Amino acid sequence: MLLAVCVLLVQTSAYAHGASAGMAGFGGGLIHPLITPAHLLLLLALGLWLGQQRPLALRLPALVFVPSAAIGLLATTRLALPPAWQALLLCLALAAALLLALSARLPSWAALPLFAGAGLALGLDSGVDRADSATALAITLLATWLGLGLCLVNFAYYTSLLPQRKWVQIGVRVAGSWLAAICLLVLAFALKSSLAP
Amino acid sequence: MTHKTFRLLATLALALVLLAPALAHAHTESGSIGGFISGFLHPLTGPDHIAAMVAVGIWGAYLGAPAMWLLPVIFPLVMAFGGALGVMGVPLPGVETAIALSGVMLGMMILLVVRPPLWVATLMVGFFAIFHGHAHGTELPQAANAVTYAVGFVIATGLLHLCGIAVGLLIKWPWGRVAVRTCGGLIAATGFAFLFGFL
Repeated sequence: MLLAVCVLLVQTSAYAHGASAGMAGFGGGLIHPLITPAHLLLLLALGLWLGQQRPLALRLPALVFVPSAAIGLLATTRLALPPAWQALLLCLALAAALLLALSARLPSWAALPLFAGAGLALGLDSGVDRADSATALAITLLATWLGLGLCLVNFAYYTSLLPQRKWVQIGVRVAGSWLAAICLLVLAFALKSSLAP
Repeated sequence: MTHKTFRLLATLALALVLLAPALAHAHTESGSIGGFISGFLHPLTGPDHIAAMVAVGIWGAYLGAPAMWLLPVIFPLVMAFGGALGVMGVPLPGVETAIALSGVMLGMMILLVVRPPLWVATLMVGFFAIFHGHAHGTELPQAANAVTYAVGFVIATGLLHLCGIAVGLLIKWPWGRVAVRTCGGLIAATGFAFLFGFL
């Protein structure tokens, strides 16, 4: 019963922290990409698109996305980003979602900037608002870095396991269309907010 | 009451107290959950919107592959473009008329079993999608969380299309064809009712 109470407590605190208001500790950092809607959109779009390509090739995210996310996360200890930064995340998510909806294949040199940009943007947008010590900050950033990499790889891997039936592949493309539509709408909201007096 | 039962009840009460703030938050328009609920319910609140979304799915199913899947891929994208115009406050003339006309036209296509070339169907659906999106974008509640509102909105729209596709697949059976054409007639009638101000 105490365990149940603890679980309820954890749920409430995770919800209280919201999307990007703050996070702390290994667990908080690890799930941060999953509880930040804009991050989840980008990771889903990239992961599904990666998994849509056959055969599955994870070399590009491993060599480009993961290091650039690390650079972005390290840079957050020195940089403070304006809220408008999220628009870039959504533009990248829109690009990946459109590639997914079109079932487009890109050569490595063309996909490289997308993965590098996504890793860097996600890392830079995952800064820690408050940390008790340098160790706590390092642990949270490390967990976030792991979370970003694991989310992308998992989304890609499980998408690649989907059956090759036509309707399944069309379903993945429909998901891309939905993700692109969401990104377009959110970009419009962001633009409206930035133009508001 | 035994000591064990008392402890159980006390722990349950504590659990309820801990849950309470989250539940209260879930019922507001603001926040992630509130934004999702608000966005999800938005396309489901207007019979004219529902009729048109379902009609897209039914007509797609009637036209067969690839239209069955292409139309639900194109519609959300174009609708989001229209929604973006609405959110930005870009004026679009005759939005309500076009929405009512979409019900009439799409309903008539189903009722009369019209099978135009794919590009014509795509253009027609895309054209009406802009107006539906614009209306939704203009009516966005200010307090809603933008991302989760958009997620709920797009999922609800997609599910309406899937409902339409499910209905459209009934054409495999003779009685199903009658049922689907009847649905088309009802959708066209709803469109007419909105067009002439009966609804």
